Amino acid sequence: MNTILIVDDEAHIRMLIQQTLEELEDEGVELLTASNGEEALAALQSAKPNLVFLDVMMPKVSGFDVCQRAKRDLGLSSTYIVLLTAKGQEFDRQKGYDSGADLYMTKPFDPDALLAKAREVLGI
Amino acid sequence: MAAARLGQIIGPKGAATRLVQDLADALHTPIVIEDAAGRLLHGDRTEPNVLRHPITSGGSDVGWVTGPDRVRPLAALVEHLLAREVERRALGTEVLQLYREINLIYSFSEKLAALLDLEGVARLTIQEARHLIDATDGAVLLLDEDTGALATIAGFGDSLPHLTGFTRGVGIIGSIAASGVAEIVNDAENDPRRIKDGTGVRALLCAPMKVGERAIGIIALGNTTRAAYTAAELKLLNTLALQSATAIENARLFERTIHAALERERLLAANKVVEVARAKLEREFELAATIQADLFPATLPALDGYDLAARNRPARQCGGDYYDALPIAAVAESTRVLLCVADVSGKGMPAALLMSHMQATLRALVGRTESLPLLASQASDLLYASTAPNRYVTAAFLDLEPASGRSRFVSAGHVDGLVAGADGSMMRLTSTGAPLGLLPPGLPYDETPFTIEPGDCVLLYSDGVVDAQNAAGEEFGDERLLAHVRASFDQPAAVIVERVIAEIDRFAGDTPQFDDITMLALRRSMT
Repeated sequence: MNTILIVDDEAHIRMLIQQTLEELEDEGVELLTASNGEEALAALQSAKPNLVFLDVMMPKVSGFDVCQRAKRDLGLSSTYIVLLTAKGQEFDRQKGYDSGADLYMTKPFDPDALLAKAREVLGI
Repeated sequence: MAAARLGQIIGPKGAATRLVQDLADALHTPIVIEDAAGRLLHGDRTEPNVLRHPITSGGSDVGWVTGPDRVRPLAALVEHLLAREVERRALGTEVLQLYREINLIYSFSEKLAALLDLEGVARLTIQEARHLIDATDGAVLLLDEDTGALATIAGFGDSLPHLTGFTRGVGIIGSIAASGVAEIVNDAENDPRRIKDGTGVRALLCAPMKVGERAIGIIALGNTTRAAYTAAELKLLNTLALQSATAIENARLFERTIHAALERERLLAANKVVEVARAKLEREFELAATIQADLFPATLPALDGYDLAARNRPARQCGGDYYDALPIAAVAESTRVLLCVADVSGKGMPAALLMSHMQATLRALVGRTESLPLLASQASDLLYASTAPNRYVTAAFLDLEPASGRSRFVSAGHVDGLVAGADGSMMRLTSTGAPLGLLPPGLPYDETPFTIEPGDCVLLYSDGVVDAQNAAGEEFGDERLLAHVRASFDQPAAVIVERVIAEIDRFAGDTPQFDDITMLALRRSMT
């Protein structure tokens, strides 16, 4: 079963991504959410999702840290991680690469592009 | 979809799964919940003849609660939970749609910022509008603020972009351009303002593109299949129209700036060409001035008992004044000399050319005519034959026999000459005939005979001397001329000439020299 993890400290963004990907649920994809880095790490460890939409700017554990720990410490090298950063926000591209992310998308995101990416990664 | 929702509420991870189990325990009865397709969502299938209570959503059965009659309220509870879930999802869909719009507007702004051409902005606008709002036709029309005409610069579809002839206030689109208020026209075919029939457009959405209070164009979307647009869609189009209007204004400004820069460059290039031509002309003028200067006598003849000086100062590089002093060879028994001061009509290069003509004519004729009036007459005929009717020369001729001082004077329409007598007297040498080359051949010239007594000073000059003006518009005049000549009466002729010219300059002050100045002074010694 395909699983997508949505991580963002802002509830409305989580909801929007969920809503965007909702139609995938009908195709058997499970959508999980986490509202901070720690929850995200727990969900990564237990559910081992295929795809993660991961916000960068979060209190305590940032998206960079989550990504790095998932890829390096949790051995989730096959988990596709999309970093989401707000447009206009200072974004350390090198840090993003170093953390092992597979893709960067900016917010406000294009819902159609996000859904298409999910379909592409999951192969559905 | 609702069936899937049911699975999410009651399924293994469903929010209500635990609640249902608690209720089953409380009611001491097994509860079975299955969806419309017969998939088991909760409990275990038991004996077949128990009651099935339908769960309905949106008017159709989406599942069943199976159990004794007392579990019937559970079906109602699940229905309620399902309705809430459906509502939540509907809200979510709406929010997502709004988010999608925000994102598109955001990216529209970004794309607009990168465009600097009018057509590009219009194309992007109509493309984005089409992406956001369901339409079969669309057009961006720009308003010509002078004529009020609306011209389509971008569009799509078979009908709308091909319509022409809209002007401010005429037709549905023209009316909206005039009112400046966005509008939904859901019965376009029957709208009283319409000027086009059979367009097939049923519903129309029009938003003015405004910069401040000024409408600079219209975005129109039309639909040939759909009958109605909504207020939300109008609001969206209005937002696009506003952003687009600003971008179009910027593009226009940019175009104007570019145009102005190109025009400036073109003018600079043209200026350079003119400058090169001017420099060339300048060089030619300088050359002409040099050539002309050579036409004046290099030295004046030395006359025993006389002191002769002359000076010419043109107002421009080349002048139309001329003076000469030529021995008259034909009369060999006594040495006589012809003095001449002439002034050619016009100024600059044409005058200079005529002056050279005059010089050649005079030098050819001198000594070959019986008298001074005849010389003047022949010179006039020759000039008349070879110049345009409006070209002529005024000239003063003095035929002097130095030994006796006997002189004959002929003036062809020239400004008066003066004879300042040693005794303090003054005689004017006035005109004795018409200017040379002005009138048809055969003109008679009179001559004025007089004698230059010892100490007398004869002044021949061009009108540039007496007509010289100061800032107040006063003329130098012959009174001043005479006064200055008298003041330097004991000086050599050359000094008199230089002083008079210096006095003219002092008199004129900052007023630029308007006319050529030529002056010739002849003084007979006292002894």
